[in-house]
Amino acid sequence: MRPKKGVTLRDIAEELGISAVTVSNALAGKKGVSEEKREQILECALRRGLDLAKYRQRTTSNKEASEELKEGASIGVMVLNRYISVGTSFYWEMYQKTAYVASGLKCLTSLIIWKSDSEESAIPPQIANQEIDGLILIGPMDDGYKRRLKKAFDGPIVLLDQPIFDDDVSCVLSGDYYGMYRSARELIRAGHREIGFVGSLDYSRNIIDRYYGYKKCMRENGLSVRKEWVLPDRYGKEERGLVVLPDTLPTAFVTSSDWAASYLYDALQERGLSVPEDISIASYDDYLYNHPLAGRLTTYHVDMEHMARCAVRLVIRGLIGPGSTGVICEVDSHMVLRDSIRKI
Amino acid sequence: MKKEVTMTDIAAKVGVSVVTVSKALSGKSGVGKQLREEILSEAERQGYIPAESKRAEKKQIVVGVIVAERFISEKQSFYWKMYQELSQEAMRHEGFSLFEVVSGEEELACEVPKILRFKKADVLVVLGVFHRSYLTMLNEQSEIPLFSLDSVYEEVDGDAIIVDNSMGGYLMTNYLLERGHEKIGFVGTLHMTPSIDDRYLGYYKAMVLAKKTVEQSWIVDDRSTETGKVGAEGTLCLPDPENMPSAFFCNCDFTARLMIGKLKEAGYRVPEDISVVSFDHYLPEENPEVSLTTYEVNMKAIVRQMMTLIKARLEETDWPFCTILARGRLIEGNTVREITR
Repeated sequence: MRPKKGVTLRDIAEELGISAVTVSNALAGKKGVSEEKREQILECALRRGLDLAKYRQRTTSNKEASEELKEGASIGVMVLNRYISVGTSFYWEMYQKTAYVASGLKCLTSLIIWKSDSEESAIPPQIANQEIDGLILIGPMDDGYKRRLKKAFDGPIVLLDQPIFDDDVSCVLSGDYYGMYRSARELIRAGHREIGFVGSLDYSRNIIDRYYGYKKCMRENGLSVRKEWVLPDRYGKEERGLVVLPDTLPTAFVTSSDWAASYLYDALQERGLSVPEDISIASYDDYLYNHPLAGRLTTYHVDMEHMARCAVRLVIRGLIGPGSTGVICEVDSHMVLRDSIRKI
Repeated sequence: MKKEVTMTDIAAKVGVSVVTVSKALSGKSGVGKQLREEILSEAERQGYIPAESKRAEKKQIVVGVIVAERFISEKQSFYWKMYQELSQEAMRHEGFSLFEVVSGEEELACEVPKILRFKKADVLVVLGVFHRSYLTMLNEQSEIPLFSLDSVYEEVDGDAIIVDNSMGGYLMTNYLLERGHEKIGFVGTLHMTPSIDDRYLGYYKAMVLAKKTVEQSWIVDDRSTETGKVGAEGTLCLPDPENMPSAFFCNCDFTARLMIGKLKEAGYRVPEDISVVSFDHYLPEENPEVSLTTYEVNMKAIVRQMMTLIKARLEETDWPFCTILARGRLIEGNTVREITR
């Protein structure tokens, strides 16, 4: 039978009232499509004369197929409530960039603000019901909960600003290790030899990576890391920001986030010390508002838009490509030099 | 052997397309409640064996949302916050939202949004302002109910919820009048958005009812008519000192902050010399010293009312359309001084 001119996946999808992704999955023999549905799709495809060979082997090089598939794909973007409930927040901006970028890449997004990642917490229905085609998780989330999400959801999952926990899941990270390394290097270039670190290591993997970046830089320059100068940036169950200074201080600190830097600054102020005259600071994020240090902090910039774009692209790749295994995408950026470092 | 019943058989009997039958049977959006029931009972009657479905028993309402790119390029945009509330509210009703940004080119070309093209939602929420020709296209092309949020237009046949802007303008102006102010100005460029115009009308009504004059020189432009940028070159020009009112009603918080900046630059103290009131109350506190006296738009309430209306509309498609004016409330800050008579 000669194929009818121009029958596409989308035509089949529209006739059956399902997404193009499902049709493609079915034709490529991917899991996640029931036998009955698969037969229904095949029946329709044959009847309408779709060139099945084209879709049997799904590769990313099949540009036409990929273009079709991603159009109108819906991507769930999930953030936990605690990261966005307070005014302007880093992760809220990350979400905005993701939604914006996705639209530009012809995808729809569904914002999923979820209350909890505890054991008892349910899975969002649109995820469990496969109503969305792909999923992006923004911000730290309990590993156990992530595993449950992965079990419940058939489509591609990408972590934004969190390292991978599983081989099948891709992630997009900001510099972390090398970003903090660069920050520490700025201090060393300015002549500092006694440098501390501010960040709660048990809080998140990102902070641990940044700590190691700082440590590497110190080591490479023959400097030792003194335990009493590695300070947590938060306390208590509510994780209230607070920096408690030791009696003797180094000449500079590397802070794992601008948020941590602001609390360090407050603690220094209380002791009558000023930045950078008494203590220099090099930070990470380039995201500080409503604080005396804002606009003055030398820090490593996090390119949120680029990260968001990588995440959306990875989801799209996961939708059209053969089971893409966990890809780690590190988005490097640059240092923003302001005036929180004094040369000595 | 009995021929297996297919969806085509059901479609033929009910008189709809196979697509519609498929959607109805698999619990997808895009089929009215009554029709769905008809299809389901016909399927049962004919002995159709449904495909194994992973879906939950209850069908989720999908709320599609579109917004024009030019309104969300600012990180702090009102509409991002509104969408956030909307998405949470949809989930509270066991549904979810789908968000689409309409680029400038797509808007000018009147391209059908993906949410409609791919039949992804049960209702389409039109968030904010769009060009009239785009709205006309939506009205013609949409097979699902349209819902206008924060703007209402004749081009769109659908329900709408807007902030009661004129009531808010009236209340804020009265707040100043009650505290002894007689010469009150308005900061906002007219004939650009319905919100600003309605707030101006509320202000005007309050002034007229209190038998106070509205001087043209006290109406201050706040944005460029070409770009729409607030605080652009040539805007926020203060009246001459001899002709200065004792207070200003600024059409929104964003403008009010810039206006206060301009007043301070010119040597006026707020509120000691000039009082300022505004509208919105959604921006996070920037400067703890300046706490705006403003009219709070209760986004959570608006979004809740919207969901209720959407659910009702999905049940009863023929019920006449309505526009709901959502009330806000006064938030007292420190930008107003009482004038002792």
